[in-house]
Amino acid sequence: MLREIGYAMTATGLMAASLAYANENQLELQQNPEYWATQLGNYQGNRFSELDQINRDNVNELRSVWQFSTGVLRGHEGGPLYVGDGRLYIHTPFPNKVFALDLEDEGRVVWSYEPDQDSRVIPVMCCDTVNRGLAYADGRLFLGQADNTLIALDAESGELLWDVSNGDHTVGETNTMSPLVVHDKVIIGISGGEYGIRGHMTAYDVETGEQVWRGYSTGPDDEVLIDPETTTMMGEPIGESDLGVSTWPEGEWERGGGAPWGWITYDPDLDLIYYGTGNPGTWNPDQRAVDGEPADNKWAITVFARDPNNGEVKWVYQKVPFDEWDYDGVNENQLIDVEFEGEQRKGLAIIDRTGFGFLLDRESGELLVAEKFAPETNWADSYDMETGRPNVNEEYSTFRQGVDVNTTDICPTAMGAKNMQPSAYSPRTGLIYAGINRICMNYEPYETDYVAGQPYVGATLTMMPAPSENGGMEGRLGSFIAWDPVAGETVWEVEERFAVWSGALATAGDLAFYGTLEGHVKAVDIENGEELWRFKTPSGIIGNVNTFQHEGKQYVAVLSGVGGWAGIGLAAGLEDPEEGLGAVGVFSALGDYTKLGGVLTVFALPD
Amino acid sequence: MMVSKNALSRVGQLGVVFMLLPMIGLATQAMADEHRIEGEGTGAFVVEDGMVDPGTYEGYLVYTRACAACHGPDGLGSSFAPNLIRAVERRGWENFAGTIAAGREVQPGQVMPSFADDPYVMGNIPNLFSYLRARGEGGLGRGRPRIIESMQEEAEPEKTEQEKTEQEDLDQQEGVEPKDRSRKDQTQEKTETDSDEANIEEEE
Repeated sequence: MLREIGYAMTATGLMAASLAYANENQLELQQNPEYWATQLGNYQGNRFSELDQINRDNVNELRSVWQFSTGVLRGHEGGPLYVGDGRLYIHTPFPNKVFALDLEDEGRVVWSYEPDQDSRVIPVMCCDTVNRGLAYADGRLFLGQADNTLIALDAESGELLWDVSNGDHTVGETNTMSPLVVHDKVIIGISGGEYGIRGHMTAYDVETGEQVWRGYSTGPDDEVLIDPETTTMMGEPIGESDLGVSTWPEGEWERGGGAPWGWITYDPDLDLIYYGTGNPGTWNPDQRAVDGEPADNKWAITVFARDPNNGEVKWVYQKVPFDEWDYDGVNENQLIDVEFEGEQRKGLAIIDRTGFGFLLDRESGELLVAEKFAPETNWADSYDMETGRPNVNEEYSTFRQGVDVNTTDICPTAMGAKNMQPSAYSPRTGLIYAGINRICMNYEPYETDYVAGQPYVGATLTMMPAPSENGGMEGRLGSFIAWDPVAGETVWEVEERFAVWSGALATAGDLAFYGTLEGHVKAVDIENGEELWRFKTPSGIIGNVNTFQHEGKQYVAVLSGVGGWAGIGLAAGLEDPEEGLGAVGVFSALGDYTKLGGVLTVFALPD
Repeated sequence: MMVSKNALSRVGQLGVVFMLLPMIGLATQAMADEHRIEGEGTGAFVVEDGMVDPGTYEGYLVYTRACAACHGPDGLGSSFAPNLIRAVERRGWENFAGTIAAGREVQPGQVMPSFADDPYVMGNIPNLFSYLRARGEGGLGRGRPRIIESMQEEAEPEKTEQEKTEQEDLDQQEGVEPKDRSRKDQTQEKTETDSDEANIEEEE
């Protein structure tokens, strides 16, 4: 109780003093290298572990110590949490079961929780009934259910402490994301960008579930929580008011999407949270143009830096004004400290849907680097570093090509050159490690009407493998890369048959881990990507590889269970782009390699 | 330099295709496409040399807009929802149309929504049925089919691939990675002559 009062005082008054209160418990836990207390490993989203018991020299001895079937078939995203109490906390896709498993007793179920949800939520989830996992603080677990109910559970007993509704699935709002606990608030976004929802980020009181603030992604400044005099864009005050209204055709912002369904990161020193917003409403750009010309559709596909105490927006950076390709801007914002042009900068790095790797200054929101990490990227040639806007290649502009025209060979696909699968950053190497997609698309916009609760998509797309580089694997759909966020260069790359849809892990054991859609967990040498170990789990991996140490033993754990958009798009395989119309050739079908089924696999070295 | 590299990579890709064909058992289907296959009754269709009648083409568009998000590309199914080519063969028209209208709870965690409130889908169920029959019994391959030329006038006027390609302005490719160019070359090659490759070589 005392702590709550102390916190309330700092929040109203002394900014600097609030530093000590950035959820103390969560911060302490994530600073202990033995724990994996938050989905991305730490507030900065680095997915890096100081543990080195498992390392380059012995990883080939790594073996499965136990496995646990979740009993749920759909795509399993996210990963297990370990907070030092001898248990692993895991979750499942819809129906969003939660399990506390005894780490020492081969995963015996200590308790389980299963919410009672309206199954009508399933068909309004665009891309499988995935969920990206639990959050933890002060003995409580937080889960955002598919039906938008945010719940707090007692981690000891699994007892429901409170629940609150964060949205309405009957209008197409759903939840897939993992909440983040900052201070005394649990913060969560929303999904439904394919249903014409209006995206929002909302903070609830960790004790009571009471709503504290909500900031929308589109609409008037007072609902986005922007002050055009103080909120900056590319380092300057925005100036003009209500751009979240005026950059849309009449009323279109009300169904303007901008769903923030990815990851939130947090800088305890600056006391700012960072997240990106999704696509602007319908995929048909023509319906989002103003007077027949492209309009920015703010603040879709935008990085937001908000004050977690009241939601006020410190700065914004719109990565793709007037999206024409469904390049959701939700990918994680890695908070990294870098040397840029001889100066120490507080950086924010993104391996973005667009195929570009961005580096921004996370204090000011200025754009420092924008370079292609997926070389096939062709929708834009480059970014204008003065304005921060992409130089769009008109040939691949689905707006310029027009409604009911099939614009072909756009790279990357709407799935993005990287989707939600979170990257890792090693402060030891200064590199980001990420699983990426090497897929291109044809995209045909069409006129669509908005009906609440019905899909509001307005484009069809077909996908094909990105052209392979000289001597590379023909028809490969993914790779795992090491990316230099300051130089804007790929340092090494491992090609994969399928898109790499799992979260990466980097460790002080000179290893990077990731999973493949066929179901392999792989450990590679962090210096050059050389594969050192692999294990075939029962199903494809779209979850994240996590690591922790218990009673002196380091473990690696991952949820397998294929699904998500990758499972929908790749199960049947893609067309061979060189076959032309009426193609008969088929590239690798994921369905030939793996089937559904959620399993947690825990690995350790032999005693 | 660029031209020869492209030529080489094309040869490589052809090789891969020839190897794949017998393995995936589609060679016979490709042969069948040489002939005209017609389906009678509800969901009638015509498939001729990989091209289709306008109704079946409309069915492809509706499928891609309304069904592919769950049932995967080209009716083939996904990790989320089943293959509809097989479903059509097994279940027939009444069951197919009824499921679209009423939806279905298949099992916990697997739900087919009702499209009863979607006039576009409801009005196109016969075309959807035609498309999926064409994919199955008609031997129609993957991807976007073209409309049989003699039946073209029945269809809505639409920009053809040829017209679209002709719009492309090569000058705007400045700064595109060489790999993108090779992709573009190959696309253009479907409709244009070798002189384009010469142009690109100059830009290098």
